[in-house]
Amino acid sequence: MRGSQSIVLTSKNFAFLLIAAMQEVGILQITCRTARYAGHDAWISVLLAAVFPLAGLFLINGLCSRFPRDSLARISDRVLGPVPGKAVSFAYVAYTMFNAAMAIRLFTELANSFLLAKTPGWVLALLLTLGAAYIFSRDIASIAWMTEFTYYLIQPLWIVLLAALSRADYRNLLPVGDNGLSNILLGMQGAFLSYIGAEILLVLYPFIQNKREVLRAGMLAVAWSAFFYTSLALIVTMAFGGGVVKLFVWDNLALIKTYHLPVIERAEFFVAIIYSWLALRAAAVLLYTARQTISGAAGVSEKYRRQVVAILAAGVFALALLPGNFSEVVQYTKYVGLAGVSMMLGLPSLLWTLAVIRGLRGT
Amino acid sequence: MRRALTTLFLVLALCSGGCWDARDLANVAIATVASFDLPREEEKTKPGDRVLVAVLQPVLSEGRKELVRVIKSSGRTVGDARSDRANRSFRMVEINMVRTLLFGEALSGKGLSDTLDIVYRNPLISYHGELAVVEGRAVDVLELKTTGPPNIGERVGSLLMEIPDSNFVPLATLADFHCDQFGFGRNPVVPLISRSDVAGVQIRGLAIFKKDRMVGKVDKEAMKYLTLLRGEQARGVITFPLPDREEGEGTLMCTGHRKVEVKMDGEKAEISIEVKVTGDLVEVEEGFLNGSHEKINQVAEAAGEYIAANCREMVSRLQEEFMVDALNTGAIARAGYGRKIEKLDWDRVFSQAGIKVSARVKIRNYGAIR
Repeated sequence: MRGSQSIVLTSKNFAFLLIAAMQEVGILQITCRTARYAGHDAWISVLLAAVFPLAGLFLINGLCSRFPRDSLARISDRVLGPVPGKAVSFAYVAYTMFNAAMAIRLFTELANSFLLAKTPGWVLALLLTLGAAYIFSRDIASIAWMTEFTYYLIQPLWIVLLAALSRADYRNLLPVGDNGLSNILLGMQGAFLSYIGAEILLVLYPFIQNKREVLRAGMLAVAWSAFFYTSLALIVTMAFGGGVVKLFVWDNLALIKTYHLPVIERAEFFVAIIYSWLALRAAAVLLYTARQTISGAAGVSEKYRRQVVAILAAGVFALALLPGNFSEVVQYTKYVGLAGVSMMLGLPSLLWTLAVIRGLRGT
Repeated sequence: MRRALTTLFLVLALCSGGCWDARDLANVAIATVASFDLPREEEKTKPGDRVLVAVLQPVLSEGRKELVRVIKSSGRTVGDARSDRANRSFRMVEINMVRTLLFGEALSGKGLSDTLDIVYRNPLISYHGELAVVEGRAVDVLELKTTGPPNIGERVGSLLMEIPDSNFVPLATLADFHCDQFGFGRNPVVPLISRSDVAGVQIRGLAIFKKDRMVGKVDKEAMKYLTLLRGEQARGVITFPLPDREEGEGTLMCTGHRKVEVKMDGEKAEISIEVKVTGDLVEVEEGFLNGSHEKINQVAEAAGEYIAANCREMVSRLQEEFMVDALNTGAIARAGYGRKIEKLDWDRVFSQAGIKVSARVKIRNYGAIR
């Protein structure tokens, strides 16, 4: 990888890529997942969980600033040695594929529940995988443009969400902190899935033009996501109360189902269609980093890009079909969330510590 | 060119997902209202059936003899009834458009938990659909023959949708019922309707639930004060005696909201409810006001006293007759005192609570000419 890429990303591009990697279909469940532990204090759990991607950004920035022209495959090779280094790179690829597969599968479940009840899940998964494959086979600048475009496309959804404030009662948030610190901390695991993504910086760092702005752009992306998620949790909890929110499967869509919009009528269907972009762009960004890492670790040249894309797409499609039912999807996404936190915090900590001890630096 | 073709292929591929779900409208029966009742013996398709489900399907074809068709089925559960219906229907019944759910009084008295489970779980059913309890059997309303448009489904839908603006009838949606059924210290109330020879259906009052089970009903007059006490968004008319008059009455077109305070002393609650009513004096005895500011204040005070007295009577009924917190004061206690309140049987606490009710009326206007 070293020196093979031209510098193409601005810090703004990176912010949009990070938002795309974090905000996938799991955000439609973020409140009910956290409320199962934290009750009406779910919003506090959601807000606190933002600490993880922020810490991850600091760690990864610290590590990558020692190796400004290298991405994960090269850094792990240098710090850990060839065999353990490649093992780490392949572990990252496996995790990223699994993360992308669950993003696709979650949308498949959503579409099967709300929109296309008879369409086989594998067809939806295949179509999304093909779409994602087309996108992640491009260069990173094109993907960055796509993520920025879809970001603006999704913003009108705020209007739909804010319309639900008509049934909000602030007393559903009281007393603040009543569920106890332990439950609030446990509730954070429900938000992990929607906060993982900072690990893409391990791969994208060498592409970013102004390294000094990386941290600031990343923090802005995390802050915006935290604001978005916390607002969602606040609105949903105020509308239903903590005791009811935990009963939901798709809390965000349940909220939208509580009122009808003129012209659109059933807004939840409209929103569910728009949210397909979330799955597509998250999978595309994650798989692009997998593509770069696998090429770097296995020493595959750009000439075989299509083959690498085909292998990754086939793997993701197969992984998306792995869970037997929705309950298993929920279980797997929990594992993805925990694995993501490990990749975001554990891996850069390990590499950075070893690099410091061994006095290693990039050129 | 190749890139354009690839993009076109991907767009078409993404759209092709809908092929499996495509339906010919001619083969679909679109239901607009659903009703749920306890089945009579002759309505049961098999022994052990516990629920009768009926859906109202508007007949849209030309040359129709009837406005609607009622499709009935029975089963041990709603899902079982649905399966029974599928065995006898030559068209697939589409439930996306169901906006009104009616429940028979007898079924409501036994509890709606089992009936509503499938409704809550089904993502296709609108969460803002209106609910109502029917005096007698709900299916009887659907089977009512109307002489011309609108059909009975539209009449019921309009009645439930429009009434919050006219007569202090709260709009009870599926989402409201869900929150009241599962939220701590809350209980649902649902409009009570019955058949009427003139319009097809009419409002009779409110059905009061203890969680999912109907425990009582109040008439149209008491409904006004229950709605005001609950702080629901609704408008309506209150006619009250004028001060210093034996027979004179005034009429307020008003809306209301409330302020509630709950103080706990162990397991004993002290609840204070202030009902704040704002409205226009639309009718008053000839020559009573004479443009006097003092008189208007007297009228407001008299209206406040009248509303407070009726609200107190309603609270007494809730505490002694129904023994249920239909005012959702438990949710306010929960907000103030936290999770420890959840260990209490709140309806019992409410029934034994000391409740103070006051009402304040603000007359915004008193007419255009006089």
